[in-house]
Amino acid sequence: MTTASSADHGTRRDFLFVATGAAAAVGSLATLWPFVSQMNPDATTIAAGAPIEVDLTPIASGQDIKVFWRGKPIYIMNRTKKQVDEARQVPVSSLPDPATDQSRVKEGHDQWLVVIGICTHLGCIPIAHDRNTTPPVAFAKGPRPPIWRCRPISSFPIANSRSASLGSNSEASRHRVVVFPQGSHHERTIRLPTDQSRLAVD
Amino acid sequence: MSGPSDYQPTNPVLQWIERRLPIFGLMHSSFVAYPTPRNLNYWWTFGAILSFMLGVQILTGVILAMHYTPEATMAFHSVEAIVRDVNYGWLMRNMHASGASMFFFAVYVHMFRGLYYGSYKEPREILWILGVIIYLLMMATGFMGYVLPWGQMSFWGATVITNLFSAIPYVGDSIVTLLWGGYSVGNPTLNRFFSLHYLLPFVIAGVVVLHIWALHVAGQNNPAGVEAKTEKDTVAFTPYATIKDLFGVSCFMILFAWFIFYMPNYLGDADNYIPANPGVTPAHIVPEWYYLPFYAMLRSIPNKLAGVVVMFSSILILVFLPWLDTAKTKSCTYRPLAKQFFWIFVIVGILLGYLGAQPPEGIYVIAGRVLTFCYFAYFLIVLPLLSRVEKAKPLPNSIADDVLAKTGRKTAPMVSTVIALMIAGALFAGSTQNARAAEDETPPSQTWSFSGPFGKFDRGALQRGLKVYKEVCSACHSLNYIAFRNIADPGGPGYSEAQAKSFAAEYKIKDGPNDQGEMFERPGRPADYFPAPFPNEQAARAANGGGLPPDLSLITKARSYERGFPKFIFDFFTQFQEQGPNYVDALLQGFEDKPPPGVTIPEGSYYNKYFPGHAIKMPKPLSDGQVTFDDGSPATVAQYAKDVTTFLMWAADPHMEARKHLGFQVFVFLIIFAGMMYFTKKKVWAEAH
Repeated sequence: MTTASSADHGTRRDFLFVATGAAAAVGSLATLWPFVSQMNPDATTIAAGAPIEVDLTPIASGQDIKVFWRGKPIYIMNRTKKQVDEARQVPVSSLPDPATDQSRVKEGHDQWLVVIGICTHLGCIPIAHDRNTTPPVAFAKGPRPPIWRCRPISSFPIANSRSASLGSNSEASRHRVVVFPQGSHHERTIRLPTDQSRLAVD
Repeated sequence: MSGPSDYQPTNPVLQWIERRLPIFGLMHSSFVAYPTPRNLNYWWTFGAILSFMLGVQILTGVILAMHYTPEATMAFHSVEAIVRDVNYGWLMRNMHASGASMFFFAVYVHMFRGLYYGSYKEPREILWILGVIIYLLMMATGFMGYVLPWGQMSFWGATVITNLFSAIPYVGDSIVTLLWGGYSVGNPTLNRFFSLHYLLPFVIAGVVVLHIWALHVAGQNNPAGVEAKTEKDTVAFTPYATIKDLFGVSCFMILFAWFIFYMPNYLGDADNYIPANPGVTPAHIVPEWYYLPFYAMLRSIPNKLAGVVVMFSSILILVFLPWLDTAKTKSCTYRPLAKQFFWIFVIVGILLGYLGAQPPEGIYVIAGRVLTFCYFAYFLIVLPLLSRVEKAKPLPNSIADDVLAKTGRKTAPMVSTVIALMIAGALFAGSTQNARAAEDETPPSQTWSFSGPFGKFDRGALQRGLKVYKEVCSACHSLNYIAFRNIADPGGPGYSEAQAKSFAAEYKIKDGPNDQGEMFERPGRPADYFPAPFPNEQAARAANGGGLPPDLSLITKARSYERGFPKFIFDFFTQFQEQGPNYVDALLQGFEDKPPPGVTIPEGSYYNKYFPGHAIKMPKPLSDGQVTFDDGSPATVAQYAKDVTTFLMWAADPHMEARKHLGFQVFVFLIIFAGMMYFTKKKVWAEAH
């Protein structure tokens, strides 16, 4: 090896070592991917988390219902005129996540408020302290200002032509709300509504 | 692990740690500076390969445990869910299942290497015994792992193997009850097997540490069988042994990948794709290939207790090997007689494996007894006797002398043993497939678009097959593992999501209870599964003359037939694995109105040429013109059979295209990488000579 061309040999050898090491690194990284990816939700879970349709007909004015979607409670509330007005009188700046009530509802369907009933803090379901207050109202009033914030359903109001929309005229007899995923990258086909309204209620 | 190290890190942080916990010194002395004989051949890389395989099994096993449900009614389903729905779940499962086979393959090479080169002799007796313990733990782990998918072979394998313990006098039955946790193999058994299957690999890892510790105290044996004396005899573990081991591992990965991506079911049993059924025992209960030699010995002894004793003795005798073979010369290279007997012993082991897969009748029983005798005679007669009568060839003075003598010598003997072992291994591995009964006619081999390394499903055939299933088969057969959404999956029939949605909406799905506590029907959604035609097994049997129409989701994997020697060896290389589709296709066309003379078919059954026993409860399901295809394909039974079989092959293996596609990429990478490793290894070792 210690001949005149040893320097040349050295370069070629270094190149070989670096190339082999690089190939090993690339191979290891590529191998890593399936091992990480398998922890993502599987196809059944994603399929089960597809948009659901909820029949709004039975919800009388002033009533609310709770449905479970993607393991979280969704509150759908048919608010009275009084409740809407009350909500709109709250100064936006006093909210932890300032956003107007108008930005959380679909125009022309102001009575329908749809919210995911979990705390944006660490994901718990807030306790309604006022026994007479149903959860969405509890969010709207808010028992404990700094903590309880309500995460909005970003897709409601739905600004998406592909979805059946709330109180659609074409469905005269049945009023439906379609709950769409919120910015999940697991949804392959459905275009996600991009409404960023943050329902933050004190 | 080999005494105090003089390693001193230069980095002050490392120095600080090293003074308190000399872990870097330990690593350095064990895996860097550790002197390794310079004449080791590639058989010695199997130690590293085994460590690699243990790591792979633990890693993939922990991952599978995240998705698996150890509960008797859900286990089989959860395994299918892993393969179908978990991201890369099919890859994890194939890695783990064929990984077990690879692990055993490597351990057998490792053990035979130890046997050939006398690696069990003084001062390595404890090292060897620890190896035997690891092997026993591996067998227990592998057995319990095979039970977890809860297929027919899992269940009946568990039943047979646990029942072995009932042969023990007085306490046998109590031991069996302890293993079962009930009156038979059932949910408690599955639960504890899962727990132990998770535990034992870590016990193995612990014993491996002891094994390596003992190895580093005694030093590695080597092909010459003379101990290293001077520095000239050894090279540093890193980079020399490390790079050689890595090259060995990268070559081994090519073999491993062949099974993972192309032949995942080659070593498995089709019966294990049938969910466990405590009411029906498979025609032949065959363990995994790596237990076959011991299974053969068990069955060749007519007395149950004696059979069990013989089977366990055949492994435990290895513990006493260091004292049975008292010859001073270690390596068979210098023992002309021992070398011949060694190869005879290898062949005896392979033949026993072959017999283990055969039905225990006639000539097989006699051959089994002769070979069992030969197996024990090797340890109890041949080796002790040879130590007294054999005259060994002169040993080289040192390892360095051995290396010098080897330079320029051809390595032909080595190549021939590799070839011999490969053929023998293929025979052995493929012998499982011989277990199937041969009394029925073999279905003709069809040309399938999905066969071979680049096989893809014919989309048209999948769509037509779906139509045939929907209009004909679904009247009696469920398709429980397929959701409507699947028909829009990549690699499937190629429908759009919207099409899958409207396809689903044509079905009425039972849902509920609603707020009134009542069940109701609603239109299907993509997330729903194909509804079963009957609410339960009893209803299905009642409507089908007592026969149960099997679920079709896995039918093309759950049916097979014997290929016979030597075909199954070629099958490994040609990637032939279409027994299932060939059978289903043949069965659908194998109905004959009149059974051949001399064959009587009971009332309510129909004659089918390819059905085992020929009397099938299903009447001829397909007739010409029954289903109309939109694409103008002929409305014939042959076309229907082919299309619906293609569809069912996809249903059984929905990620086949992704598997083969990724497999090709992996192969290109691995071959290039192994080539680079080879040249790197050559360069590194060039400095050692």
